[in-house]
Amino acid sequence: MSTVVSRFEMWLHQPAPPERLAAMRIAVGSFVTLYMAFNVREFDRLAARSSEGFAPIGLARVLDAPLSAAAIWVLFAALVLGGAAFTLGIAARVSGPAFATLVLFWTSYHSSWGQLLHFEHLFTLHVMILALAPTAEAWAPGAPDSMEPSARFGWPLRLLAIATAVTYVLSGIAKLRNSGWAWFDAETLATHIGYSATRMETIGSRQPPLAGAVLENQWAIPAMAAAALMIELGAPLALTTPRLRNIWVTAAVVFHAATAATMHVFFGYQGLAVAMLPLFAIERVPEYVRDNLARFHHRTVGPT
Amino acid sequence: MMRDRWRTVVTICFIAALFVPVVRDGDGVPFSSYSMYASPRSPEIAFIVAIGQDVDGDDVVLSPRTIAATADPLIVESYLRREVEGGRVATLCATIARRVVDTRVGAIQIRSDRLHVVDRVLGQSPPIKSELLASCPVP
Repeated sequence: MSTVVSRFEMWLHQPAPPERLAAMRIAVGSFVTLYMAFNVREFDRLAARSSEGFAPIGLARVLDAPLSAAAIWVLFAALVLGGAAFTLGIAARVSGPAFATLVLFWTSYHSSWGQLLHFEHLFTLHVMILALAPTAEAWAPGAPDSMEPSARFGWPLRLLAIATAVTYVLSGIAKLRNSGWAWFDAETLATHIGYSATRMETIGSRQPPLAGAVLENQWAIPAMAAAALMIELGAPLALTTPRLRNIWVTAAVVFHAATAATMHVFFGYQGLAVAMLPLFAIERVPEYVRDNLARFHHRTVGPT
Repeated sequence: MMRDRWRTVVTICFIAALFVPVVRDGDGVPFSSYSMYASPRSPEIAFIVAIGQDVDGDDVVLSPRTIAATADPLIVESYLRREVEGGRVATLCATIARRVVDTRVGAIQIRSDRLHVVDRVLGQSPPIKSELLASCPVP
């Protein structure tokens, strides 16, 4: 047991370069800021809503009544500007916590109308972790020229990775707890797929492209259900070795593509693998791209 | 060493916080039990449907943005359900009618259609039961 604990602590406190944490700041900050910007119509929709159906949760509990339209647009502007500042590493000690507070407030408010929007939870957690981490010690205005790898930078990355893994495990636990052995029954997942497809039809949207094909071949559903559960409960394996990490991330991305194709349910932050970036040395991406571009240039143009 | 020990404690507290919704059987933001699609359900489900009607009384499918000013199906569905459960079905009908831009649509119906979801996908089977909740003209 003490070996397991000490190995966990060694993993937890493994040093990382400041560029890796800065790269996470840029990746997560970019995703969340662009997500807010592209979802401007959601702000518009809530700005026009009456107070009927307002049931505040999370940080939105500070409100007695829905925000005015003006307040919603101020919030939108603050999110986009704050997100840009955080992404660029400008005044990170202020922009980080400010952006995290705004994101937590918006995602709470957005889910305060009778429907919890789970696809916003993980990036909210990640922004909150990054807000309190030294993300601007590299690739930010005023950052030192170079700093040694340190657990100061490695530990927040581990927290991000843990958040990702645990959220998948929780989803798997929920299935076992709420469905039990029925989860492996073809009827359970077939009903969920049928429900999602029918819901899309009743609201004038296109049905998921593979819903019909899967429902015509229900013999395959128990294997699909088992695979989904294995991916969710197996998420902590991605924290152990590079090989298992690569296998799990590939499986998880395929899982999200499959749920999009069969149920039109797509968690963008996970499905586009932004949530999995803490598992990788993503600070090496610019160098990798530069080297490959140079190699390509050399092959096509020849030596100069 | 002391700093490392502090980080370990914070990490354990963080992991514990992530599991709180499971222990308390609740859901919230950002700590959640992530219980989406986790429970079995009956394949016969009553859907609240907002549908347009043309001059001949035939159904005209409305877009999600016409129905609920959003493209998100979860939000559309919960909006319809909440307005009907809250006794605001007449207001809902009028609100949707004001958003209609399709000139074929002369009226809006809000219905509760009970559907077998698997049969519906496989063969477009008609509603098992359909109940008209509200009807209103398009201005």
